[in-house]
Order: sequence, then structure tokens, then C-alpha cells
Amino acid sequence: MKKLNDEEIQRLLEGEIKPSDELLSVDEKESLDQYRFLFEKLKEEPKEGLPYGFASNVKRQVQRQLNRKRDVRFYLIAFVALILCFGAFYQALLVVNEDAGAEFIAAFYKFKWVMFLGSAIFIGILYLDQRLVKEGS
Amino acid sequence: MLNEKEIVSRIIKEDFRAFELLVKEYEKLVFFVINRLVHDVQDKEDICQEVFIKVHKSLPKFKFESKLSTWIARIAYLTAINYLKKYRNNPQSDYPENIDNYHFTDDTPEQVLTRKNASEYLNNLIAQMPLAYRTALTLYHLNEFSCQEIEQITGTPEGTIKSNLFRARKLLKEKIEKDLKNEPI
Repeated sequence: MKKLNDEEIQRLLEGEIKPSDELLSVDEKESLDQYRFLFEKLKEEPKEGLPYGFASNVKRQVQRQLNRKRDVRFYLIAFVALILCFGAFYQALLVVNEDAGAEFIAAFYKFKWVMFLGSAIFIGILYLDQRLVKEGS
Repeated sequence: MLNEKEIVSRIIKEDFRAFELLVKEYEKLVFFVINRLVHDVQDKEDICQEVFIKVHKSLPKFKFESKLSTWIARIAYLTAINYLKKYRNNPQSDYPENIDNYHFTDDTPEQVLTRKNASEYLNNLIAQMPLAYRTALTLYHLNEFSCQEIEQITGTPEGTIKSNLFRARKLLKEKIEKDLKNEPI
């Protein structure tokens, strides 16, 4: 009778072929046992693993990333809205009174650094406030 | 068992509790893949975290064309491969020139010491094997994916996966047979 080779023994253990036990020679049985042992060991889970609370940590990390993205979007929208409001106000002034529009621009240039500084401080306070709230939660 | 469609739609609607459940369900699967493919113990947790962040980001693109587990395993596999390419420490053993003629080299003293514990010894042997063998053994035996699913995960043809599995198991069996003959298992 033809002896089972390694490939056939592996297929046998995977349930693809089913020869009767009595038909196997001593060598084949020995080989089958060795493969059976190997298959069992290969299924064993590793002793080490991820720490307890891994899922919560990942959840927090994802939440943090999403919040950061939302914050950036909020600041960008606020900035664009501010510019648009400023432009709309200037246009409205021009329609009502051209001189008033020119005076407005002149006043803006005069106090430009104060306004920039004021806006930066305001956004800075908002940013710090959000960070402190997040750290406290 | 999670209802895949329900949990995915909840996560897309920013239900973080649902995302936590998904991570709990698949953290073992991801860890098994990363653990076998990446050797640096320190980085394993970070890579697993990166995998789940990618999963969260890409979930709206998941079209249920495969099982969720297969899709997550693919992300884990690709993340591990990218990591190995970036921080390649041992390219020779991961990508030998002729994988079909691969054989184990002589034992290190550390390996001889671990022989008393069959599982530990086997894990040491697997760690030495080329990446393709480690991947096939892990996904097939530990994660219990079929060869067809492994093809979807790795992009390797099913026939090659079957041949890698066969070769890897034969090599392990012969090595164990030779080394553990006189050692109590």
C-alpha cells in the first residue's frame, strides 16, 4: 500500500481526507501524532496580550483626535465668518455713506495691531479654556 | 457576537461606546497578527492602537463585501507590513531570496533553553521563519481564517498560501521531531 506523505497527513488533519486508523502504518501514525501535536500547539493563544483597558484607551484617543479636528474646523469657520462680517459691514457703510467707509478703513489701519492682538488674545483664551476643560474631564 | 451592520452604523453616527465594543471584540485578532509579524515588544500596543484608529477612520468606506474580521485583519496586516518596511531590522529572515529552500539555522543557547516548554519553543521557531510563513500560520491556525480569506487579507494567491502553510508546518514538524526527541514535552 502507498504510504501517506506529509501533505496527505496535513490534509487528513484538516479533515479533507479520512483514511481508517487501522490502515495506517506505525510510521504514518507517528507522523500523524507529531502533526496533531503541532496543530494543537499552533492553535494556542500567546500568553502575553494587550493590557486591560486597551479598548477604553483607544476610544479616548479617537475621541481626542475627533475633538481636535472639530476645534480646528470651529476656529477656521469663526475666522472666515469674522472676515466676512468685516467685509459686509464695510460694504454696508459704503452704500450708506462713502466717507464713512473710508473713515472706517482709516480707523482700522490705525488700530490694526490692537485689533489683531485683541483677536489673538480672544482665540488664545478660548483655546486654553477648552484645553483646561478637557484636562479636567 | 456583534451584529456587524448595526455596530458599524452606530460607530459612523459617532457612538463611542459601540466603537469600544468593536475594539474589545477584535483586539485579540489584531494582537495575534501584530504579535507574530512584529518583533519589537515595546511597539506592539502602539501598532494595535494605530490599527484601530485606522479602522475608525475607514469604517464609513466599509461596504460589507467581506466579513468585518477579514477587513480588520487586512488593516492589521498592512499596518504591520508598513511598520516592518519602515523599521526593517532583519530583512534577510523576513524576505529570504528563495523561500522554498528556507531551513532553520543552528540553535541559539536561548532556543535550547526554551525547548523544555514546547509552546515557547514553537513560538521561537515561528519567529525565525520568513514573514510569509508566519503570516499564513497565524492567520490560519490562530485567527482561524480560511485560505480564501487569507488571500483577501494579504493579497497572496490562495495556492501560494496553501503551499506556504504546508512548507511551514513540515519545517516545524521536522525541527520539533529532531530537537524534542529526547526532551520531555
